[in-house]
Parts: sequence; C-alpha cells; structure tokens
Amino acid sequence: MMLAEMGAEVIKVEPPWGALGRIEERGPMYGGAAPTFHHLNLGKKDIVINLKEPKGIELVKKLLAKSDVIISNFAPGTMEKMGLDYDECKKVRPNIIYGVISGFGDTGPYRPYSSYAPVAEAIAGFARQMGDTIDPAGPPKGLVGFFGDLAPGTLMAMAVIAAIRYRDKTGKGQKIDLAQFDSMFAYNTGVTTFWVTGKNEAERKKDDEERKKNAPDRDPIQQIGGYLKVKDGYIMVAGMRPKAIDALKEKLKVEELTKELVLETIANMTRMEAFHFFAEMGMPCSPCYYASETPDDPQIIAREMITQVDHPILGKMKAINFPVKMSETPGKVLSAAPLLGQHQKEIITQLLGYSQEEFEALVQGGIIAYQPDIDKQIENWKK
Amino acid sequence: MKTILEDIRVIDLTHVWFGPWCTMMLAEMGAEVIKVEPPWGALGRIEEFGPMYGGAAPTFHHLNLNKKDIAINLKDPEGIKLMKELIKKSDVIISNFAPGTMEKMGFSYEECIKLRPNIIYAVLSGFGDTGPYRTYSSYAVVAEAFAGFARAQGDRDDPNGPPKGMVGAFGDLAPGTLAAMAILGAIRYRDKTGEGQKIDCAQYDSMFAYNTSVTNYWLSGKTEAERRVEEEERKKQRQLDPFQQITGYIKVKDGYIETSGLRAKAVDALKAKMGVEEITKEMILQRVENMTRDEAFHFFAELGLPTSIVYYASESWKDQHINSREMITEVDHPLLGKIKAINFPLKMSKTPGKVLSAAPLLGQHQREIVMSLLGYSQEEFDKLVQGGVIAYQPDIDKQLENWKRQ
Repeated sequence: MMLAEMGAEVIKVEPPWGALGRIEERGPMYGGAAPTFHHLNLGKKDIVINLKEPKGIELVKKLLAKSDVIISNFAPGTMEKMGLDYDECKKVRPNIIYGVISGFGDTGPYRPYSSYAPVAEAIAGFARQMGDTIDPAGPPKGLVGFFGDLAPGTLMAMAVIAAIRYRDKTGKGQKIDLAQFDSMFAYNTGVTTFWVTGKNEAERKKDDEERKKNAPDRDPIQQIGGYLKVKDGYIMVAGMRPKAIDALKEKLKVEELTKELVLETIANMTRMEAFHFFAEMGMPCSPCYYASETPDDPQIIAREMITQVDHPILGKMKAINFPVKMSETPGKVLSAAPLLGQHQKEIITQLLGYSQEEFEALVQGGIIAYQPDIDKQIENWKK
Repeated sequence: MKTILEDIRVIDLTHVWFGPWCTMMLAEMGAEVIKVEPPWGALGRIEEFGPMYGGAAPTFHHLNLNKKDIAINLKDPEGIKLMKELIKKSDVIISNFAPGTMEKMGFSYEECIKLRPNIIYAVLSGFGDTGPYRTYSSYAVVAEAFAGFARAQGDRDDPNGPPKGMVGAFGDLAPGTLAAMAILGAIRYRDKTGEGQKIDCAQYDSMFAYNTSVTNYWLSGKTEAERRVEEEERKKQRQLDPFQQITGYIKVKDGYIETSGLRAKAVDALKAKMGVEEITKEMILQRVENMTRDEAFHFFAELGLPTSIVYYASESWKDQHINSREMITEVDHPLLGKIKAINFPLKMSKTPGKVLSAAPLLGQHQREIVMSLLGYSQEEFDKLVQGGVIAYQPDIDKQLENWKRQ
C-alpha cells in the first residue's frame, strides 16, 4: 500500500475464495471485506487467479513479464512449488525485483514455521518486556497495534524502493528476503543494551532502583509523568523538561511542585484543556484518545490526514492519507480497497492484451473470478 | 554500484530515536551519514539516569552504527558557516528540532536550496511542520497515546481502567522507517528529475496512519466499547477448537511460549501424533507444561501453529535461527573494543546492507570532515578548535590513542 500511495500500480492477486485478511471469520464484513482489509489495501487493483491450475500459473507469468516487482508472503516452499521461485521468475523477467516476506525468513531452522505479529513480538523480546512493566515475575503481555507486521512491512517498502533505485542505475533486479523476526530483533534496543552493559533485565532493574534511592530530589514531574486522570478521561505526560517545570511553577505561583498539586490542578480540566495546559509549557503531552476519536482531532484535520475514496458498494468512505508529506511527490490515496477480482477485465484484456474469447475461457475454466459476480457488484456504482 | 546509496551524503541533525533510526537505515544501505552534535553531545548520547559506555548511553550504540560524527557549536557564526559548507556538499539534510530552530539558524528549506538547489530537506517531528500542535513537543509515548494505542493497550486489561504504555518505542521506530522510505523515494525522484524536495514526517500522522481501528470505526460506525460488546457475544456463539482455546502465553518449564492458535489442520496433526481420537485443551497443556520453551516451541511449530518462544531481549540473540540468519555482527569501538551489533534487517541479494562501524565518539570524524571533505587547512582547522566551534581535538585523540584496530 505504501508503494501504491507513491504511485506504483499494485496488482493484488487473490485466490478464488478471497485472500486471508479479506474474509473476517469472526466479525462483520463491509462491502466484501473486513474493516482492516479496507485500511490496508487502498490504491490497489485486484485480480483473482487460481494458482492451483497450470493456466493460472501461466497467467501469473504473463503478468510477471510486464512487472517490475513481485512480492509474496506464502509459507516457504509455496512459490517454489508453483514454479514461481526467484530463478524461475528471472527467466520470465531478468531484472525482476523479487520480494519475499515471512515470519522467519527464507533461510534458517525456523524457516517452515508460521508467524503472526504477536509471534514476532514475543520472540524478539517485546512481550516479555510488556509483561515486566506490570510484574516481572508474571506472564508476558501482548502489544496492541500489530507493529510486528506494520514495522517490518514498512522496512520492506523502504527496501523495495532502494532496489528500484539500484535497478535504475544498473539494470539489475535482486531478491529481498524480509523476516518479521529479523526486523523486530533489529528494532529492539534492549539487545544492544544487554551487549553493552553485560547486564540482563533483572540486573538493570535492580541498578535502576538503587539509583532512584540514592538520587537527590528527583523531579516531581518525573514522578507524575504517565497516564493522568482528568475530568473526561486521561492524558499522557512524558515529563522531564526543566523549562516546562519552571513555567509550571510560575503559572501555579509556587516555589516547589508536588504531585498532589499538579493532579489537583488538572483534575477538573477536560483532556483537551489539560493537554494544552502542559503542551504550551513545553511538556510533551497528549490526550489518550480512542482510535474512534482521533479523526476529530484538530491537528489530524489540519494535516489533511483524512481523505475520501469511492467504493462500489459502500459509496464514499473515509480513508487515511499517505502519512509523509513530500513537497514535489505527495503520496496519494486514489481508490478504495478493491472488490475481489474487480480489475480482472482491465488487467487481462488491456494490460495483457488477451482477446474477449481468451478472457471468457479463463472465466469459464475457473482460472479467474466469475465476471458476472463482479459486474453485479459494480453495476450500481454511481461514480 | 556496490551499495544503493554509495553516492549519497546525509547531514544528520537528528537526535534520540526517531531520526537516528531513519539515518541508520540509510547508512546501512551505504550512505555517508554525518551526524552533527552540539559540543556537549546530542540528546540520546547522554544518559541522565544510567551509566554511559564508551561515551554514550546503550541505546545510542544501537541507533548510531555506521555514522560519522562532528560536534559543531551552532550558536557560533563560525559554526553556522561550517554547516553551510557541509550542506553545499550534501544530498540530504535531516533534522528533528523544535519547529523554528532550523529557521533561526538560517537553515530553512529556502535557505538550504540556495546552498544546494537539489537538496532533499527532511524534517522529522512529533506533530509536523504545520497545524495547531506544530510547536508542541513529543515522544514516542505521546504519539502512541494520541493515535489511540495507549487506550487500546489499557482496554486489554480493563476497559474502565487507565491507558497503558506500549514498550518498544514504535512511536519512534515505525515513523523513522517511514521517513527512510520517503527519503529513498525522494532520492529516486531526484535521480530522474534533478529536483530535490521537502519531506515532513510527523509521528502523530504516522501512528494515526498505522491504526487500523480508525478504519474499523469509520466502517462499522461503532466505538471500541460497542464493538467489544458485539465481539463478546460472537465469542459465546463460537466453537473454539482446543488450540484456539489456549491462544496466548503458555507457561512451560523454563518460561513461556506464545501461540496464536489459528490453524485448523493442527488439531488433526496433533491427534495423529498422539494417536488419539479427541483432543482437549487440558491434554495439550498437560503435554507441554514440562517441556522447555524450546521443546514446546518446536512441538507447536511442527504442527503448523504460529508460535514462538517468549524471550527476554537479553537472550533473544542466542537463538539458533537468528544466528543462522546472520543477524549478529561485530563492530570495533575505540573505547569498548569489539562489541556485538545487529545487522541490517533485510536480506538483499545484490546490495546487502552492511554494518561497518560502531556508534561514533563525539566529534570522532571532525578532522576528516573539516579537512578532507571541506578542504580546510590545518590552520583553519586549529582555529575552529580554539574558537570552540568544533570539539577539542586533543580529547578525541586521547580516546582514539589506545584503539588497537584489527
């Protein structure tokens, strides 16, 4: 999706029954897809290909011949079994950029094993660390947000652009192998901290506690940093700005600050009032929003982070904009997450140049989706 | 062309985690990254509350591999002059100061274009270069709270309780990765058109964009509380297989494993393995409770279940798989000697990322930068040292003098 928002034509290839992620087994679907599918598939074209059929593989290779990048995240061995490993793909398109995304990577003893974001987060030490924030002797705890997927996914987008640059300059493609475990491991500064200090988490915690005891008057602001209750919810104060502390003392007309005084001061403020109160003094601070409230935030609106896309079934719907502002090449969100097989006619007859008969043979043979189903979904689409 | 960014020079004014992660990715792809610190050392280098190692906090070592370093006093006009000379010879300038700081120093985008017309000018910040919160400060936890993640984390334990922070600083590292991606995009655009541009990357924008719950709300029209009630209802109706019933963290003999029990075939596979007709969750738990983490991990993984060992960061690097992936390398630090470092996380067959040097000492490369790159004479260099415009060279020499390079 990051590549699509930077202008790439991304053709999403799904199995006949729809990709994992499209189908929400345990919750409602909207316009043919789970909500997260809508979030993660803006800007893409869609085709269904039955990869169990030789004619399906043939079709993929025809697409490959006209493509710059192929990315997959099947169980290791799947691409090989389908005759779509890197060497085979190079025969079709010598300068192809061949990306594989997986939990553990294309090599190594855990290669065949499955993974999800929580798996990668746990093996890289984050779940244990999360559990430690509550009780070091207790169980690990999961993180919200799926950063075990989204952060590695962003690394992959970065690497694909890099490979595209390399190909611009040399004419050569290459293979990119991204593992969630490698990525999350690389993100974890706790590893280097262990290497440099020679002390594990428990030992360092003990050292920290010693230091706290011996430290002279620690700033009350540090002690009040954290999630603070106000009238209509919570704010987050990440304290520790000396100038802000002075400003606060001045504002409250006191020589010394106490936690009680500060909490008292904000107890009857709304989140927004308390947020601006601290932020204007230079204290890093935020209201603790629910995701459902964030779209109403004035900063998000001023930053034009919300746009609109047009979905054949759902009509006009909100979507989140490309998150980085680039003055010459702004990212763009141009279309909604696609319907299953939505662009198959365009892709096969225009891009690949198949005739109408050839197209229909593919439909009848169950190689691609049943076109009448797609037509029905699009027929009421008032663009 | 050996590395993707071998022809690119980056002037790096960033500090702490967000910017340094971004520039380290560029450095590992071959860019020459020149980290510019104030004379007293950058925020992030100095560890106020804990010990320092070889002149820096442990996290500084993690986030600043492969970079060159110069300390410049940007309050001194001579320091500003020096920066301008550097900008003229650079492809990218990246900073994450409080808004207005770059302008005050004379390094606005417009001013930098005068020095280098095709400069790629990246500003990283909490809230971005525009908008009502533009002047406010931020940290990873601030962005995470704004974007709804702290509330969601709190909801996991008690929807009526307080929000909770996430570990890992993804509110810095994920936006930092987006920024690296965008800079590469801008470099490509410049390759083809000759034009630079300005990149404005905000932690809040980024974390907002990462939150799939926002789209869930837009589509369903239901808040978190409403969706939770519905999800509870659905759970009651659902028949979970024994693996799904034990999804999460499972205690075994020497710690925990994690399993996301979502593979239908796993139940059949286990029945076959155990030679039984029926499986219950109690049977599974009983089977693994006396296994080591390693044994339990392989036991589940071989059944096709997504699963992992719950490691501490301090032990994850010993994992056999991480080692076979060559994710651990070594760098040579002038004071600490040979120390381990984490390798570039992607495997690229033609242009592998490389970790070539340790996080630098303060001002470590100033002589090379000022005299070789900028062409100053020895006298001009000495004048800068004496004037306190750059670091005190004898201090640097002292730290380097015992460095036994292999």
